[in-house]
Amino acid sequence: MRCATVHSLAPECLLYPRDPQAEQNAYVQAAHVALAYSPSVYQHTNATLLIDVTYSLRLFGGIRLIVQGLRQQLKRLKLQVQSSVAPTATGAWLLAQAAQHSAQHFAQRSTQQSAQYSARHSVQHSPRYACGQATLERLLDRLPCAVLPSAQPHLVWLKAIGCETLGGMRALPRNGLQRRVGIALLAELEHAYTQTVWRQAPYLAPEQFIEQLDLLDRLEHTEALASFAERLALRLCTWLAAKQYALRSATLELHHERGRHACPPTTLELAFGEPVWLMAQLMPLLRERLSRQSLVWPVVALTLRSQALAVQSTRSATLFPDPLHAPADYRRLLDLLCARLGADHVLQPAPLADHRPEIANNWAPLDASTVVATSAVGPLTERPFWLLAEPLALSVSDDRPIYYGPLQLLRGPERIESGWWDHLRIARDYFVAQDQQAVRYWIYRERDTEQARWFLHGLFA
Amino acid sequence: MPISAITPLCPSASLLKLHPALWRGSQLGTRAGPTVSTGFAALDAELPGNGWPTGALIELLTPHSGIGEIRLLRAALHAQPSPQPVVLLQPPYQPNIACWSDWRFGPQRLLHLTPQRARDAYWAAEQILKNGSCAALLFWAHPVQTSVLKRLHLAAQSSQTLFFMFRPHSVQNDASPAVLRVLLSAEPTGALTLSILKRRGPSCGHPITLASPSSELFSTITHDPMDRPAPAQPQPRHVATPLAD
Repeated sequence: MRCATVHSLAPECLLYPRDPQAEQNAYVQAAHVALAYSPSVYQHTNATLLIDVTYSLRLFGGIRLIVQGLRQQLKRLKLQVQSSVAPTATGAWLLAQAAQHSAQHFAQRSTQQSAQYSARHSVQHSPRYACGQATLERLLDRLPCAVLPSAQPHLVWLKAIGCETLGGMRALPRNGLQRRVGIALLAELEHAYTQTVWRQAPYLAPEQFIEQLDLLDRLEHTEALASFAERLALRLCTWLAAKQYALRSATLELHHERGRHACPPTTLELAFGEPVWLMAQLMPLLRERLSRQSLVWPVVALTLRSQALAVQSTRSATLFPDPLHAPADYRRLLDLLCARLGADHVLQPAPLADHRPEIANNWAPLDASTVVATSAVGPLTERPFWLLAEPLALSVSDDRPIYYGPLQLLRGPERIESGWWDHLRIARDYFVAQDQQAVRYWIYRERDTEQARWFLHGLFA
Repeated sequence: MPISAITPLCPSASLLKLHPALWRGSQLGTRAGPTVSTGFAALDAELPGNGWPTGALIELLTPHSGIGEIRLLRAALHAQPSPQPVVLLQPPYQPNIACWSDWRFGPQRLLHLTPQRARDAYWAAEQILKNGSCAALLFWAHPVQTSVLKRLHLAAQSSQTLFFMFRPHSVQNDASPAVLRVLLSAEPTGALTLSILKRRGPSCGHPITLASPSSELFSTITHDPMDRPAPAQPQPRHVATPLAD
């Protein structure tokens, strides 16, 4: 039917061009969801996935929970499916096909599960779970012959002899049927009822995750981008679950205008101190990185790529919080803090072996490569807890330093004279002083100057 | 009908066993969550649960920095499991690593955050509390809205992190959701005086004086602090050198 005809017949129709690439992407995503439940996932004709869950039943607590889990995850990815369960792969496939035909609406995908069980009830006339052989035979017997692909050339003849269902076809004399319709149809019928083993190569997920999402509109705000990035991240997490991988780093490319005014894409690097594989671990960092990014041009598409991968560390669930797992949480916290505050504002100690207090007290931006030296030069006397970033010059009255009042010298001097080899030479006498409110200060006097110059350098906390 | 006929004469024993959140007005509340000893027996005796409560907002009101506020927390920080970090959020000055190491803490346990905006600081505090992997969070913030305090107090309840907020003396009459508010002031002798403004239990009428903790520095001073004159400034000397014959 032409587009013009459709519009003339039904003006309220919305027409969308078919996108085979998008269909293929959706198909692959569904396969990734299924791979989290069983390694034996087969791609079958007519956008069908066959999942052999025989060996996963016990792990996931039964077929009902498996089907529920699958359906929930597919729903989060916004995919519609027809699912069915049967002891044989072909049987499950036929049940799902029949449900799709009988349901008048179009479903994007049919998922069928071979070898054991259940499905959903949205179409009342065709229940699609057969957990036992007897139920399977009863359900299959009711299906029309048209669901079998090899029966297509013989449909008219079958209808003429009054054989409309699979059950009717099974009741016909086998030799006569084989002579008239050939061996292929009979073999297919046989598989649907009895063959429990599916002999095909299973689907394998790709080794790298690269997925692109075209936005419907040009977006200029990172807040709006976050919801689309979340959709990509969900697919990434599904893929990670299928491959049992954890993510160490990834890149998110923001594509700008194409064509004549093409701009290079903006690339966001996402690096995780601790490998992640769950949405709850991945999304906060992604959101913070996006919110810090300023957009120069509007964004038309997003591409998410996995870069460095690791194997998921299996951790057994514990009843009480386990301090052994706290370091992993702490590294995730550091990632998050760095993403929002910037690495320059998350400081860790990097003490240097030097006698000059301001040089020894070195704080470095957080970086995995920085090794904290635990054995710097230990001071001989107690040092103040707080150091001023810049020593504060004190006024002098009566030969005595003043800082909101005259200071009493409690202890000293401690002479620190060092740094003749670089330009930061110091020659100081340090004293511990106390003011009227009993606050203890660490002050020093410059030894080089003619006049006594006093400076405040720290506070004992 | 006499009252004693309705209620037993001594209900305290049975009533108090009913629920840990139930206590008499005249006695200290019991704390269901874990507490960390302050290291000072006099202070422990005045706190519900005999120590600093974890997973709750504690406010320390100080007139200014440098009166011994970190030394007060030293024992509590030592009592926390050793690999867990201590976060200093927006401290007024730079923390000195030498002093921290001198107190026998590993330097890798310290994290120093200097957010640029107040909103970032609140966000960071909330994330640290929700994450729960840190032993303690020390947060310097002024001014703070009550809504922020409430939010941080709620976030603190999700973890076992010790959470101290340092605020100035001027806010002592303001309302606060903190479970414990302590006013710190220094004595001229170097001792630290604590007045508990708010706790679960009766108001604490008397201030608690904690002697200056023994340390290498101050233990050497046996006498009372005396005013010592500043040492004389060295003067360059000009001595006439006799010329050689």
